[in-house]
Amino acid sequence: MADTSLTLALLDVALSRGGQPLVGGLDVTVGGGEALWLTGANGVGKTTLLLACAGLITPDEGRIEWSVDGALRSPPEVASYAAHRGPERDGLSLGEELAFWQRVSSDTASLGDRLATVGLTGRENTPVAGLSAGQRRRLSLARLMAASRPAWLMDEPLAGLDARGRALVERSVAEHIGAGGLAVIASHHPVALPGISARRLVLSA
Amino acid sequence: MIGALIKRELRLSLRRGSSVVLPLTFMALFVLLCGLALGGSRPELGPGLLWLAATLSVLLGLERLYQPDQASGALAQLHLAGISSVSIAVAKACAFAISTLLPLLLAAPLLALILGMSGGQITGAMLSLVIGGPALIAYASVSAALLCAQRGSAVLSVLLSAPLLIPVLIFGVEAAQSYPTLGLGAVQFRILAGLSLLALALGGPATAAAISANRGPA
Repeated sequence: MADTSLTLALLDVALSRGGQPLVGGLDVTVGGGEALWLTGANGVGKTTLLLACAGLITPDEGRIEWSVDGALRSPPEVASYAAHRGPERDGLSLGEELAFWQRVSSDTASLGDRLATVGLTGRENTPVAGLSAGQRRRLSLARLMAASRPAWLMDEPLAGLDARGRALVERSVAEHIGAGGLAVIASHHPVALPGISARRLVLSA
Repeated sequence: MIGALIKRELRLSLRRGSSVVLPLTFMALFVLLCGLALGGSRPELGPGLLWLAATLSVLLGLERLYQPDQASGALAQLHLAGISSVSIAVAKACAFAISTLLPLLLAAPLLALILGMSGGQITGAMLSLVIGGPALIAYASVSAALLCAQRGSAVLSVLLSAPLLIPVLIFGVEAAQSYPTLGLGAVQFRILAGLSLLALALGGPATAAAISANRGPA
């Protein structure tokens, strides 16, 4: 699945959101088997940077390049993005929601296995609208696993989770990185990845 | 893949409370009210009323076509999962047709009953809706996709699509009226079919381009 030759390179990147300039002059390279932990004050541009890495917005200056074995790749080929909210839609049940994204990602694991991995066994029929913040984070993690991309972009993956949930996320990210994957994690909470020291990047305006 | 998307759309539209029953009830009520307001048995009004109901229900559904998936980030996630904008546009259009136009076709015989339409008249009206329906859906898709990232753009998207829908409405009604005498060979049916093909040719790529432009965060 993951490839150790995967590289994410931020080359002199400057970002803005809604006309408001945020961080600038970012020069960072992250490779397979590495984790980058983004911190910084509210509104400094952590989410915007993740969105830019996912190719969903274009940086004002500089380039963001994904490559595998030196060959450039587009973000959808290598990255999956766990947003702070969504994309689940009220009106679907948890099982329907996750099964849809598994189908879209051609996931080979069964729905039951995915739910069990993230500790949501037996919740298939819970309406998405009735999920707690922590359960949504778990669903988000299951979606990342189902997408089986080598790079995980995670926005506040620990928010709203209980202690076991946090351990689950940290263990899952560590396993992903151990298998040669890459993770960029925007989080206010320290991310303690077992056996892996995440590089910390403090964003400031 | 498109099948999974259509299934999800239909599920969502069923859960919204506006199940198949609601559009059917809306249609039945619309026809009943028109019958009362216009004074009883007026079969010549049938095609016009059916087309009016079709246009209205398409315009009413515009806002929920792309906006919720844009706002929740689902459009962005579909892109990251490698689903093309064209597939999304096709799936959404198919599901939209099933949830808005199909109930109208099912309720059409009721319209015939209330207005005293003949078999030929109601067949013509239904056929014109089947042939012209793709144009309604295609133009609705374009304006919904164009404006899905703008908050409170429901009125704007209605204004944007209305001029495109007017020719379809005109020829749709004319085709339905000419069916009892001229059948499917009537020139109005050919124009209507032409309008639908044109709308699909323009609307498909335009909708896909609009999805690509708007899938990111607003």
